[in-house]
Amino acid sequence: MHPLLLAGTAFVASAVEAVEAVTIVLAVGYTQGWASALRGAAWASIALAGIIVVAGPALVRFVPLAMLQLFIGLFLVLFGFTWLRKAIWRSSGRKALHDESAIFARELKALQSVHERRVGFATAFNAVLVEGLEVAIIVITLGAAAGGGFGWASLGAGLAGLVVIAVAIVLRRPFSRIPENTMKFVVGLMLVSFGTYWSGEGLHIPWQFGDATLVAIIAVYLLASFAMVAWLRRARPRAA
Amino acid sequence: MKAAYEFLIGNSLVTPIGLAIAVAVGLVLVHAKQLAYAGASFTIVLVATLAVSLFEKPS
Repeated sequence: MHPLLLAGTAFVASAVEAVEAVTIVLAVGYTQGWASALRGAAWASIALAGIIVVAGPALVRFVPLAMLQLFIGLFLVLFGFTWLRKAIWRSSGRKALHDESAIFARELKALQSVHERRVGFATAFNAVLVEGLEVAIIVITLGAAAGGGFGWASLGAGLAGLVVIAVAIVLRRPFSRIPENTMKFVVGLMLVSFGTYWSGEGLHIPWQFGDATLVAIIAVYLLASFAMVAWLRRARPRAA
Repeated sequence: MKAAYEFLIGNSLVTPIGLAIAVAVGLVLVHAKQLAYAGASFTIVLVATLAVSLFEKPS
């Protein structure tokens, strides 16, 4: 697997999670002050780094590669299906679009009603930890299934975090203008395609064109997803 | 347990069943040395799983 493809997938997948985490940290920063918001985010980041450093290499060392590829591949398919299904539902109008502005406003209102400084720290910590755990899972699974490419996967995830934070500093607003559903569509597509490829390898299926088969798998899922969006648009009434 | 299931699978019943069928199909075809069809069949079952799961209630 090409390292840049690995890093790119980790980058896009992590960026989506980072957008959600940074939106909540921004809400905490505006209401409870930046010290507690940044302290919560920093402690959660340290906890996540520890999880990746401990869990990643241990997996590769103690579990046979084929078994790892099968289970991680199926895990990615499961994870990717969840994202892709929601993105297809949203694109077809069966489910309302994810609204970062609404999340920001909701967090802001909740935090303004509470005056304890600890709440700000805990909210930022939890947001970064929960969203970051998904990033950690993506980094560990992508890195492990690629036979130990944790460095590239971590690089992609780290860059995504930096880019999202930089954009947040410049905009000082939630990410309502970023087409999140498109990003989730792409990430779901990538996770499902990687998952299909790796779980196939774990089952000892000989992919006919080697790594290049991955491009064909992405194309199959992309075309199928477009067809499903078109079908749902025609078959179902739009969500209110 | 329920939270872990929802985190992984997101309220879908079709997805785990479809994945189990895909793995079974892949294993049978590899075991029967039908290697030319194994990859395509495995992928088609997974795509079909995604398609069928769309008709479940949105979570």
